[in-house]
Amino acid sequence: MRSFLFLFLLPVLLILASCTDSISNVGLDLLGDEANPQVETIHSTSFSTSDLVDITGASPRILVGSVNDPLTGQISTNGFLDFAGTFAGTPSESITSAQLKLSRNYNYGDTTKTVEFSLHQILQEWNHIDLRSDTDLTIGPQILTVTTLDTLTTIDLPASWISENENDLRSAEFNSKFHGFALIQINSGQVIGFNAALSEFELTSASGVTEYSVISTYTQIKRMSPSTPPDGLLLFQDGAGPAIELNFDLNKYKNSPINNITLSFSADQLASQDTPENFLRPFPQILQLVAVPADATMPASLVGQAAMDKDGEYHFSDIEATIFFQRVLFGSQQYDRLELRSPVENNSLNAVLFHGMDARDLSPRATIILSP
Amino acid sequence: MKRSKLICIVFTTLIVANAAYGQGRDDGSLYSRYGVGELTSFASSQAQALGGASTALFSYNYLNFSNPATWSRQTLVRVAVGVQFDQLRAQDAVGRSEEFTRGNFNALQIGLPLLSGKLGLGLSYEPFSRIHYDVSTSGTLSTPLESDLSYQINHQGSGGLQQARIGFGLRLNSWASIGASSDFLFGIIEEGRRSTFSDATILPTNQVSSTRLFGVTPSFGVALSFDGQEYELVVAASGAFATTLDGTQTVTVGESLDLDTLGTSIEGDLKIPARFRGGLSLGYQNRWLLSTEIRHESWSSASTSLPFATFQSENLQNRTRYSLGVEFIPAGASVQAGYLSRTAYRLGFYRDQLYISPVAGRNVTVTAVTGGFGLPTLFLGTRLDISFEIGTRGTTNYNLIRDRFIGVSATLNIGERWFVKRRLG
Repeated sequence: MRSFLFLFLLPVLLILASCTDSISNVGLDLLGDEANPQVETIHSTSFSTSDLVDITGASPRILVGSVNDPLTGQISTNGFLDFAGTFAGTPSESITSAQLKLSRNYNYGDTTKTVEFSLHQILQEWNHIDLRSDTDLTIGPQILTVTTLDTLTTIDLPASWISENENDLRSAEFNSKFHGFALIQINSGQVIGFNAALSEFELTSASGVTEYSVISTYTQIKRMSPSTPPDGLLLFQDGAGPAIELNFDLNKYKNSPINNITLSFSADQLASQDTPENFLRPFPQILQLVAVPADATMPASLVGQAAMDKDGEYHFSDIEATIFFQRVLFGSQQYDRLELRSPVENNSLNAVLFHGMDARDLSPRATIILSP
Repeated sequence: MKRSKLICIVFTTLIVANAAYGQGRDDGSLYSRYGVGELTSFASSQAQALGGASTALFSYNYLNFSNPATWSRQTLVRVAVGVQFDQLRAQDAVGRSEEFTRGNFNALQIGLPLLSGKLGLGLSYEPFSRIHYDVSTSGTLSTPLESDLSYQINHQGSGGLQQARIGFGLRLNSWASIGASSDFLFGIIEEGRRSTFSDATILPTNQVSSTRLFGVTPSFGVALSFDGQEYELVVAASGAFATTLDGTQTVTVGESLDLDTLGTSIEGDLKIPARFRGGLSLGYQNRWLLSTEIRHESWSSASTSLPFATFQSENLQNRTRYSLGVEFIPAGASVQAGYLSRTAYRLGFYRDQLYISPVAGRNVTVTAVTGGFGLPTLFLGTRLDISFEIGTRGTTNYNLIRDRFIGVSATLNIGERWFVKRRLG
């Protein structure tokens, strides 16, 4: 029986030893197009301006001034700053001077024109997180007016204002008693931006100089007249708006694995930069693509961000964007619409004109690499 | 042979055979990608060597699972288990060629004579279809951001349907037998696609579609035998009714190459068509045996509600298979003759027009020569069968593939008399 079993088990062992796991390319022609990844381009089903009110709180830059842009219309901006710190002198020590130092890092409009604004004290406690650009803050009467064209603007506060607020300024509870300054634009030919990190509020007393640094920022932006973009082009403007909302019909790819999705938006660089002499209208350097849920109480999802390339195109092609849309196609992620927004990081009025849906190859489009 | 030894052998062999089956996955002809895979059938090791011409085969030494009517004449408790080794060389229209080897489990078959020579029970477990391919393609793509993006895609398939059968054969009288069985079809068909790219910003994906199927189909058989002095003529037919397999298809896609990150699951069904076969066998002096068979399966009527890219009507057609085989045992029924005289020598042939049509309207045909030996053992009723098969499948025309294959199988057929009442004389 033993030899009999051996006779049977020998070929079994041979079979085990002979198994291979080779990969072949024989017969690939049978698979046809299925064998290769597909590249497909679809165009947006909607592409229009949205009335999104931008978040301008908690930005490292505040804007002040006004501009009458032949393309984007008349826009007015007011900046708000709050400070924090500890008074360096004794609680009873007199303050001999108070200076507000503002460091400029942005211009929009006619760069030869001065910016004139009034300085006010903010009278209410405020939280700058998620503060939108149409929010009003309660401010006191005008302390003084400022006209500037300089990179560093130094504002000396009057002695009367110092003595009136001296107790709060040197108080150990300065952070809660003092709510900062509002820079309300009066008459300007341009909008400028101040770098909050390099701006400060300085008090001088017998003990030396106390530097209060910026802890909260906010920019209020008001559009005074509508924009007038050329036909076929869509204006996107940071801060003042409009933002852009759009959608793609991805139903065709439902439950399909995708390897990449690149959403491309083409700007008309010439039209965007068609400005009067000495007029500066910067492009938004970075744009964000955001997926907005139907339920307005739910937070939007950042899909990706893109920088403008030399051809004036923004391509959203991050691997995170692909993963996001892959989840959408498999039903584990939903959204109502997509929006193009500027990052909150730096307030600006940067503007760009996008080609609309009738621009054929330059219209908003999604290029999808998929393995069908 | 002691009963415990027999059971031990069966289980050990089953385990080893299953291991062999598992090892054999993912390598083989791309034809197995279509339909429910490469259909297999293993009626008996005797029939395998006779080109598969089995419908009308009655045998003392073998269980014949192509026709439940043949289970009626069992006199021994019988267990058969077999494994197969295949080597395949595939070549396509542009001259690419590749060799594959694989080992597979053929079947486990058990037969019990409930009423010796009158009523028999048959049980079996065997593959119904096999899917085993792994092909890779590479190339470059042009995208808006990159004009020369390299990629590689692996297409893999594995799994298949298994079949478990239980049924009875009844001898109605000296010349007529009938039989019926319930055939449980079940299994998982897995298709995978793994895409990788040269650019790290392009998401590699690993998509696996796993379809679980289950269904039951009744089978029937009838055999009419006409005995003469020195010959026996058997005319037989058998078939399985069309059935609908319930299915659940789960598609998982991995972000990066991990699986189970995203998935969808859908329910559906898959209709397996009716399958019929008819055959004739002629035995002479227990030395010669001639067996022929024709099969017809209406796969053009098969359909599925599940999203199978390779189970489309244009890729399916009716299957027709013709086979013929001859067996010669020099010693006939004598148990006293020499070993070589008691050995069965077999030769067969078959031509199978497959049920798949990877290129719509183009047939894929298998033509093969079979043969083998039935080696007697010290134990009456127990044989070790070695069978071989050499053939071609398909053509290199029309973008199809030509497979040249050679297969060798070993099947242990154990027969013992159980349940014998001891009598005191």
